[in-house]
Amino acid sequence: MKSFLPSVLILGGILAFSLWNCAAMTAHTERWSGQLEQVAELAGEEDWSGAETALEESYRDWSSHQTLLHIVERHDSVDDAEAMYRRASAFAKEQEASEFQAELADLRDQLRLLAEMERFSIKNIL
Amino acid sequence: MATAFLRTVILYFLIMFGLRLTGKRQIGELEPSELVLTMMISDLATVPMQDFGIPLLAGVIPILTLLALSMLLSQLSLKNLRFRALLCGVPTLLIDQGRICQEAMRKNRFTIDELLEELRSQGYCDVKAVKYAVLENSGQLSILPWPREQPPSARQLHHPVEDDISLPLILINDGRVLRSNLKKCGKSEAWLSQQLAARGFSSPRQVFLLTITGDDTIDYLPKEETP
Repeated sequence: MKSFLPSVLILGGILAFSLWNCAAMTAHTERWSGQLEQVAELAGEEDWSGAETALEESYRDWSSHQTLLHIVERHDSVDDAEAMYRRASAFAKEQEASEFQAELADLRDQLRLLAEMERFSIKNIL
Repeated sequence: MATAFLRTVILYFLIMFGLRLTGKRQIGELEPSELVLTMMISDLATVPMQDFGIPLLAGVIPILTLLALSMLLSQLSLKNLRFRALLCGVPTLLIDQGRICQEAMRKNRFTIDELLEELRSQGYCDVKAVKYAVLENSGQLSILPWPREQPPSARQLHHPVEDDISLPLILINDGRVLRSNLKKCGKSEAWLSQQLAARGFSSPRQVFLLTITGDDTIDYLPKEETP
């Protein structure tokens, strides 16, 4: 049994890391999506300064996980979400309600896709 | 550029370390499963090396998984004969007692032209000269000719021979004394210095290669002066 240990440990380690990564990505993206939902509500109530501050906070939270995101996710997917955050921020400054809401919806969808890509599902495996 | 450099270094050492763990065999001696593993790993490594948009982990994880699976399967095949036969296959007799086994050739998709080519490449122009031909798991054909087709050995001739073959042990390799080998043959450094002095050397650094055989015969090659 001892001879099986190294390979079983490596395989187990990879599986554990993959499961942790799936859970962590789901938790992070759900949190960012929740923050963006709040931003959308504030913008819907015409509270633009509140929406801008909430978006900045969400962006700061997102930016603090850039290293992890670049290690586990395809860089172009992360860069797309980053660009959406910046565009949403610009629309918030200009108080462009319809453009802002559309950008937030796209961003939330992109975040959902980031988690989706790491999920253990038949859709992803096949 | 720094990314490409560092990624290449990491992947190179990962693959070298991994393949070292899987065994010592050369490419020409790889079994089909090992060849596929080597090809897949080399292909997986090149993608994150060239495409910086893909995380390094996307290359590392499949490589580690393949290496770990390969290690696991080889351990299983060591423990279980049936599993080994399933994973690696079993050697097949293509010529048995001088008779070509057509059914075995069909099963292994081995044509008569390929068989004759293999025989010719090993110096046999006539199938009748071969007693056994075994298709090994590595795909190589091992040929055993009839005794009448081989030069007779000393044993067959009932001729007594002296066993004068012994493996030479390297004591100095490119000016460096291999102390472990010195210990293995029961000699001391003082003895080596004495032997060197007797041959006109003041230091092991002046010797390129020095070997000793089982009957204490010393062979040496002086180091050439660098221009």
